[in-house]
Amino acid sequence: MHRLLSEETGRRELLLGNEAVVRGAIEARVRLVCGYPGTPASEIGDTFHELHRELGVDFEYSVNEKVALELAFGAALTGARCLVAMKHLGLNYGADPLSTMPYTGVVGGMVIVSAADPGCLTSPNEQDQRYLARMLGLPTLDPANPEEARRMTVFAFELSEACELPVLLRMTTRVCHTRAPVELGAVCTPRPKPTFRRDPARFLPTPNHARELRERLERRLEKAAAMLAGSGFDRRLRPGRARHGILAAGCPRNAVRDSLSRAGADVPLLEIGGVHPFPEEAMAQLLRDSEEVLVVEELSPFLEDTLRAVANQQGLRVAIRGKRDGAMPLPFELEPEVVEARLRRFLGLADESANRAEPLEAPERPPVLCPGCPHRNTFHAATAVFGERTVYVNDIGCYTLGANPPHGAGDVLLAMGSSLPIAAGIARSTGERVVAFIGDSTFFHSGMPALLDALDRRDDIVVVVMDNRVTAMTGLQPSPTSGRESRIAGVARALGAPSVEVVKASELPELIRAFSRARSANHPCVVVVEGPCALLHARSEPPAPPPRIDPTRCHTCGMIEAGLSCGLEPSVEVQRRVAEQRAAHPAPELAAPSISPCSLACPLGICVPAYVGAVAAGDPGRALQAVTLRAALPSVCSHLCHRPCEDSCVRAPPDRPVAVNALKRYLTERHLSADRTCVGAPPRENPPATPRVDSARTSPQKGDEPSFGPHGTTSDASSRAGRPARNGSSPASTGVAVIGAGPAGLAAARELVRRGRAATIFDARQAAGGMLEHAVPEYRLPREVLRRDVASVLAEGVRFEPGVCLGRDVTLESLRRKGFQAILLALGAQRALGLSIPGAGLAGVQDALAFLSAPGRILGEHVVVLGGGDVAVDLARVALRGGAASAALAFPEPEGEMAAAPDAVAQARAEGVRLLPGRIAAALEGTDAVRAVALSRVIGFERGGGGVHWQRLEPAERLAVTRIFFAVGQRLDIEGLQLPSELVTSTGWLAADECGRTAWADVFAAGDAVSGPSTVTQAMAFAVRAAWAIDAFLAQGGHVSPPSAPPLRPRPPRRVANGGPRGEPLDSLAAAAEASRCYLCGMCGNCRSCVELLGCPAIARGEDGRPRIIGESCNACGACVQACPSQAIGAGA
Amino acid sequence: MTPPRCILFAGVGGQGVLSAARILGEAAHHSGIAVAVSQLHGMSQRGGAVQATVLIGASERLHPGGAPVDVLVGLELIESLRAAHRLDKGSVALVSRWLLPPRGFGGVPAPEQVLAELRARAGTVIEVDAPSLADRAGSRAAVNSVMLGALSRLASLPFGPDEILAAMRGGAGAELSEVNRRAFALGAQAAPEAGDRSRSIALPSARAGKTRSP
Repeated sequence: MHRLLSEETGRRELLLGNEAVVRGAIEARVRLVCGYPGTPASEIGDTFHELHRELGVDFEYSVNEKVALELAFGAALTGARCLVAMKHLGLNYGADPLSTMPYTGVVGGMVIVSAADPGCLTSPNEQDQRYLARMLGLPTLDPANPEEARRMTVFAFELSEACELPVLLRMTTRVCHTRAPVELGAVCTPRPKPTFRRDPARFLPTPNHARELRERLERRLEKAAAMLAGSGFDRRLRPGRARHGILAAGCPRNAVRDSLSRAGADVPLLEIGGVHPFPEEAMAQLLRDSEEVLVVEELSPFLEDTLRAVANQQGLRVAIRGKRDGAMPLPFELEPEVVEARLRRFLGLADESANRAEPLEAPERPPVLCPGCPHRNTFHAATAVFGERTVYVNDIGCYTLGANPPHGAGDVLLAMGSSLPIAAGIARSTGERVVAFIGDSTFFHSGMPALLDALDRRDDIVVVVMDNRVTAMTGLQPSPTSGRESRIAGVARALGAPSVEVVKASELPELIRAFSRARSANHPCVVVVEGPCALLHARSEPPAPPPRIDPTRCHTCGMIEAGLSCGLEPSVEVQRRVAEQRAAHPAPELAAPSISPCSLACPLGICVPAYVGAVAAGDPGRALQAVTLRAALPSVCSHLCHRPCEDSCVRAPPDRPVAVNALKRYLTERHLSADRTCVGAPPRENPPATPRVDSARTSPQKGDEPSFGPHGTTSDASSRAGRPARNGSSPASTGVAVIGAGPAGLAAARELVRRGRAATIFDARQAAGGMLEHAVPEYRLPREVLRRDVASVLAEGVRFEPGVCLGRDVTLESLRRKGFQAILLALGAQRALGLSIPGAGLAGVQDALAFLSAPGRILGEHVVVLGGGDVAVDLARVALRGGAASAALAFPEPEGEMAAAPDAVAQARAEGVRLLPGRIAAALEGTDAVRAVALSRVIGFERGGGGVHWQRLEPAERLAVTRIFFAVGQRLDIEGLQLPSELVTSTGWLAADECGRTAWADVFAAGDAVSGPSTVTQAMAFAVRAAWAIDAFLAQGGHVSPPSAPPLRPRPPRRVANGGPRGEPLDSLAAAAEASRCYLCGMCGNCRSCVELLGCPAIARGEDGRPRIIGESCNACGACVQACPSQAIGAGA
Repeated sequence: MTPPRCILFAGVGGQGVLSAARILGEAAHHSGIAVAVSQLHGMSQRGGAVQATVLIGASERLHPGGAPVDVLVGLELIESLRAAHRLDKGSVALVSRWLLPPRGFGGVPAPEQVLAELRARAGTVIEVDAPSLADRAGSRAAVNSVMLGALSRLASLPFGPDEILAAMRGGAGAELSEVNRRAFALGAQAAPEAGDRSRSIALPSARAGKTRSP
């Protein structure tokens, strides 16, 4: 038999205060019990839920407190004894019907238990219901311990019946949740059978009856006061006069008695257990007996003010001390030590309280959604889709915890069912979509009317109903969806919701997709997320093994393996974008390759998802960090890159690749300032982190062991901030001499400086930039853009010596003598090739590069460019811009196989450039100046002898021209450089491997001078590899022969483009929209989405920064398996 | 009047802090000693920090207050650290070597750091490898039984292991699960080796008829 059912009167049991109330109600033969769960009162209902059948008690968890009070009232009208239990806030919800019940009165005893929460331990406020009780006219009892709670419960039924009033038993957390000995009392004699007797003058409080009932209420309260006075719950101890008197009420009575006995103080003490109606005569007597009275009560100065009113009425001049004058603390629970100290002070006794030790610093352990909670996915998905800028309104329940990190999905919280109307109010005034969360039980409690209102007004809100089939927070009480078909979606549809989706919480991708649909809708959306509480079945099922994390996929990035980490901790927003993309595109081919194809394609190794994701997340500063870490000349790249990233995009035709280059141009044009900082970014609460990489993982110890290749780049990048580069203190003539200030030279020098080496660039010309400066047309690369990039490279500590020509002013030997430890030849391919055809020496025949570097007068001329590469196209377009009457390109290939980038060709054609494919110039005609060109048709070709031999017909066309340009290729301008023959190949290029190492250990070569003409991005990438090789060479002391070549090899370009889109760069909205198209492929070495986004308490970040699963906390729900963007988590073994 | 003896249980929601405190309270109650078990919960099932206090020989008080405790039973190390300010040189800290890192990425102290902090404050610190012992007994969920076993041997409680075991059984006729019985025994075996330095807990002469034996 349950111990609460024992018939052994006088037996003492260790009972919770809440259990003592249950026992008291059993002793009073309660017939109907109802209420709504709420801490700290929940165990009252729970215990009746367990025992009601055995007891023959009618029990229910009502849909809300108002319904519960009305149900009990109805039963009480028939003479049945009823108990209604709720937390303090529930009384407010039922206050409307409750305010008239004292007028009609009850027949059977009706006891309302409402538990207060001093200190707001589990509540949003610590409202003092005693005021409400007095306002409504409810006699109120306030127990100090479980035993008193039992006795007061029994008495409350008798009081209620005798004065025909509902009686409030006002509990506090401390009494509810303390186990103390309780003496079991006898169960009262059986009660008469309930029947309803008509009494319209009483039960129909229409205005004519209400006036009379109002007067009757006062007579009822007078009777209650008399009964309370004789109840023994108000006690006057130590009668007689004394200087100090004490009035104590409610739970602090324990501490007062305890403190007085410890102090040996015997002073007049009035203990009040029946706080309303208050014992007026006993209070007056205490005032008459004392010169000074201290009032000890919790929460508000309720009885203190009452005592003042009594003193005033009685004309007594007694000092009343308490909360008003600071003699007692005002808010929160009164701790016994505080009561004792304040009492001793009041009594004039020495302060004996010991100094309290301050709590030590311990990591916070806020309550979290349980391991295995299905609705962790709900918050994970909602925040991934709606992001951090959306306002989230939360409600009362477990899901309030969604407001905690990592989800932060809770900006506002008020009361049961408030989330919907608050969200609607915010949405109406801001015009933005607002998300409201609500649970199943709360939805039925008070969310339904709110939903109807929002639907009728077509409020711009997304209502997320989390149906876990139980009232979980208060201890798994049944809810209206428990054990039956959920009716939430049906209710929402019946109320007229235009969009109701029902999704399983366990299906994360589907959940994310549902939220995405709700985000883009323009009407109120209801998403019902079904996932039963994990605690419901936690104990019934055998534990499954926890999932395992595959270390080769987790926290792994192919870029990091190559030492090319983006150096960024991904922001939460970027990780959220990844989560949404994975859900939106679950196709197997996107199954998280270790490197995204675009990053792999980028010659410079820029992590494209890192910066595109940051643009999508509205974080241009972070995006720029990822770009400038790899690109020495980011603005130049954004204008001239051949965009292999876009060519490799998984959004291949028929879809359009993500316009990666346009995004880079948006970043550099809109946000990059001269000092490489981000300007114009929206303000953020957390500034982007500085590049940080676990140096132990990516950087070998330089100096200890010779290293080679790209390793260590990122750690050096991070060390820049803290440690001055070595060149800052070393003389200019040490370190590395870089010959040539073109893109290759600039990129190599910057990389060297970032690695702590000194670098000095020598260039024959006065301006840095090489071909970019003097050959690329202004319309393709505005010089202002180039100069900005060059300036920022120099600002990083690269020295530039203009006007110094190799072979004329310096030689390799003289540079060595000056103390340079290594020399990089980044000479470019600046000499145009000629054609040996008749008439090549005529006036009006010119090489293309010479013209591009110094365009002469060309007004009205007829121009033919021989060649089909980028330079040829550039030249034709420059000629038209310079006023040429016509411009044509003649080249041997078919049109589709031109060397020039297709988009440039298309633009040239649009501008009026005529294309003459399949033609070769046979001769130039004219006397002094060229007058015509004879063209042969190409009919085929064969390879051999190191070149292509075009098979052609006899000349068939003559074109009248005034100007001919040769743009058939470039070569290294080697004359006069005084280079040793072993550094030069037989075809006239520099001899070096793909890392720039030459036959001489301290001489390196990179860029077009080695590879032949390439794109600017490829030339820079080559130069950066050479810089790594130089760094490795210098780390070995400058005399060890270089090790074998690193694995990174130049990739043959597949030319898509030769420049970014013209016109204005994108604005931030368009950029974010374009960036949002990116699937953010690839695994991320800095990803922590399981820790930072999912927030499962069974996953922690280990000391190595990698997530690990805490086996004993994990209940194998599998949420992390779905959430891992790298597919690194799999089922356990 | 002798002040009540205060035993503080600290741990993480789900570890069984509340039931351990309740069992100790029942053992005292059935031994005829006045007792109050104060448990503030509500968030206990959500993995938050949980504390419960057993006031043995309680006079009138229900609220344990904030004064130094006589015994801290720490089921988890970080929660022991959180309660460490309640220790003084008269206190015994009986702690389980189990560190459950809170979710997230804050700095988590090493077990040795926590133990050093406890040693600096408490008169005696007794470590129990409760998770291993519980596993040996058959379930990690029995950590609280291990700690009760260790507590039963710690000092001269006014009742012995039999009373605690009876309280664990939960009433006449009920059977104690084999796992919990083993866990309790393993805890009791583990404690004396480390517990020799513990001071004896002098309790008020509590059998003086204030309460009635069952």
